[in-house]
Amino acid sequence: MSYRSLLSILDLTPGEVNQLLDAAASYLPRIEAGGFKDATLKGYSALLLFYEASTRTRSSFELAGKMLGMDTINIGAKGSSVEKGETVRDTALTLNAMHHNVVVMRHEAPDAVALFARYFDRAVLNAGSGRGQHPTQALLDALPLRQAGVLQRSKRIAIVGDLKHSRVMRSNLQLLTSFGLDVVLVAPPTLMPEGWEGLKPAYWAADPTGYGEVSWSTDFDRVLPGLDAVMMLRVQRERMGDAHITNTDEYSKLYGLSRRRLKLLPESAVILHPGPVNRGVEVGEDVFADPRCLINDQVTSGVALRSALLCWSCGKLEGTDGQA
Amino acid sequence: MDKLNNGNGFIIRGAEVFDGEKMLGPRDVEITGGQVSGIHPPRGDEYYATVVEEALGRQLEVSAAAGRQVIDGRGKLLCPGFIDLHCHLRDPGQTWKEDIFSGSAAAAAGGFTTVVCMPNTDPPVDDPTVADYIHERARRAGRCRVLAAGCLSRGRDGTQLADLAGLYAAGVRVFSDDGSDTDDPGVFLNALEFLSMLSGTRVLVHAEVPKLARGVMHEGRASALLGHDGIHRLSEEIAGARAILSALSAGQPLQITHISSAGTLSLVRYGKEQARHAGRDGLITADTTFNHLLLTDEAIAQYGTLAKINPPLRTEEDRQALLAALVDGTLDALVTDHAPHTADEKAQELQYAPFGIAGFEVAFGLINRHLVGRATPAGPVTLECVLKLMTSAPADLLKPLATAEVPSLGVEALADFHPRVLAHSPGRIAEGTVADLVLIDVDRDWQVDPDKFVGKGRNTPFAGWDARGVVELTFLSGEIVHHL
Repeated sequence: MSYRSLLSILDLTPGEVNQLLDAAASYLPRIEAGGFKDATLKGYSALLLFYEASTRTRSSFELAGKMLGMDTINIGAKGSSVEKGETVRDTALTLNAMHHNVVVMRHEAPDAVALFARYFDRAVLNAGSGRGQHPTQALLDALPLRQAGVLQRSKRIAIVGDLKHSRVMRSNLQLLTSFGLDVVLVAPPTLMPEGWEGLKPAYWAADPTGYGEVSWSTDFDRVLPGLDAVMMLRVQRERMGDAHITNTDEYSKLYGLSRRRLKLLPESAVILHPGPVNRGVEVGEDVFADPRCLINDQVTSGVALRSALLCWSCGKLEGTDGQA
Repeated sequence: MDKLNNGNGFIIRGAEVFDGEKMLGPRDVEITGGQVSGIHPPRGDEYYATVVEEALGRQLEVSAAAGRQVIDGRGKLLCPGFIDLHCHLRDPGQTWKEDIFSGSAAAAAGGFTTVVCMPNTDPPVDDPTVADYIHERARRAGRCRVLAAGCLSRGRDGTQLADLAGLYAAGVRVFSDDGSDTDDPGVFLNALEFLSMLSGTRVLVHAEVPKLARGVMHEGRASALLGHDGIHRLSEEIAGARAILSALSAGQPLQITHISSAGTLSLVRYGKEQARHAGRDGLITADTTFNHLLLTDEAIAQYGTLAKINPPLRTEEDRQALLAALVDGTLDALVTDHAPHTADEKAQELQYAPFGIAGFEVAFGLINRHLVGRATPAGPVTLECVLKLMTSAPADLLKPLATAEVPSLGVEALADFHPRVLAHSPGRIAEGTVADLVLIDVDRDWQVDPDKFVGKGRNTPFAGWDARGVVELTFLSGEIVHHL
């Protein structure tokens, strides 16, 4: 039996991404029809190991697992041996000895999931590691983008918000540029990572030929008219406390997707937000009411994508549509 | 070890001798009574031939070498024992990582005969009893001269001064809050001003602004990609500027240690220039580590926590600037910042693993293999340049130790005043110098294997790296303290 782990979006080729998106797309109608129950992964266990809070990721993995017939088990940092000081390595060795098939893990350190995977013999799926990677978010974002015809060469997407502290940005940027999209990062200098040039494909891709470009702008208004998609990220209110932003009101004026800015965004463009949102800060009611908004599609896509990914991680992707 | 010493001293035959400043060519070097007792042009085989003579009615084996142990040094390099102004021996308090016995054995294995250990122990060296403990343990270990650095502030917490005069009386001459910086600029300046009346002291500054240094690696392209919190280069540069200006103001000798950033080198040059104008040449000095000369922040992606050090590995531009600073004289010493940790401590997330690389046993071999011969804008890195920065140059920074004067003010009044004259390592080879020596098979290649380390810390990113130059023998006061 062959297991596969997903630690970083760089673990996947665009071909494998498309394969996963195809499988996820085949689940969508069944999920939209109220869910399904099959036995694809009957007898498999999925352990959801979350050191950090989560609503969407955790519940969509659990739902996906249950629909596929898996036994799902939840462990949080609270109430587990993590509280007694058990290290990630020892936790991995312990769970490995229980022969869990899949571990879905979220942790506050960028390298914790990779560290765990070194000591775990079967599949490890990264459900968000610090400011490093959140590959399943990038994949689930790619599905509505593909359906909207945006996931292709020379399309232009802006990622707006707290880019310094965002794992969502890092995984999305790598997936999107590998499909040839140009990514415009929009943020004030205080919310950009120092050395942001390290995000350009020339820095991290083995062969950046055919990859899209990465640029940075502080001027949201000027970027908006040329976009095919805009991805808004949450700005944590704590960022005021550590002086990254002046105040949420001013931030909202400079970088919020306001009614005025919605008019600058082309009719054909789409709007994404990985959630959770700060209503009234980066997005407001106008965005949710806008026909271009795909925020709820993203959530549904999350269940479909994670269903496909669980099958993929256990070497069962072929059987998912009942055809193969 | 004792079997190698018949009590009559040694002759090291025909080794290429580096005297601390320059290569002398092949020489026969005699060691007697713990000192270098003679340096001669190489003598022929007949000098060393054993002749059986009839004397006093008995057959005696004698030679012109007069009963001394002859060590064949031909084709090898003999240089003064290395001097490391910055290491961590973890004793007292963290002896699972290293202790004074294992640490000084590791130092001897790497060719070091004098090391200055940083005061971030538990308890810290903010009190003369802790310095006494370290010096006494090192004396008992007998492998290496260990000079304890003393804290600037009590508990290294940057609020009150440590027992500076008491530490001085216990023989401490290097002062530092290493492990971190002295955050309060007022306390720091007071420490410098107080020390300025104690002759022969030098302050070693770990230049860091804590609030710019909350991360785990250099803040730049690699951290942006990996998502790790960064340590901004301004952390070192701002704190370095503060330290240099404070030293100039107080007239207190000060060294910016383990420099990581090109910008800090510019500030050091400014400080040296100002000191020269003030007639205080040598007031401002600087060093870097072999780690910062060999690796960049990209090493984090490759080696993970094993490449996590503080200050962090920075960019290729910084590394090139540091290499040039070796050659152009901006750097006054090369240090190991030997910082041992256990494998378990390093097998954690980057943000929770401790900072540090174990360095004693690989420093010379890596520098010799990877840096000697490299071109820089200031000229090539030569073996002589590297050796000088590991021998006579750091020795000169400790030199006041040799002539440690009784402090001029106040200290006599201390009840337990007991100035300790620490034997010093001269960092030079000449007739009459202390025989702290190292014999190196300088062209022999080897591979770094942490499992073969003498020290407790196996934490190195250099496992499997090629090295060149094997430390065959280390002499401390004419006694062999390490051999292969």
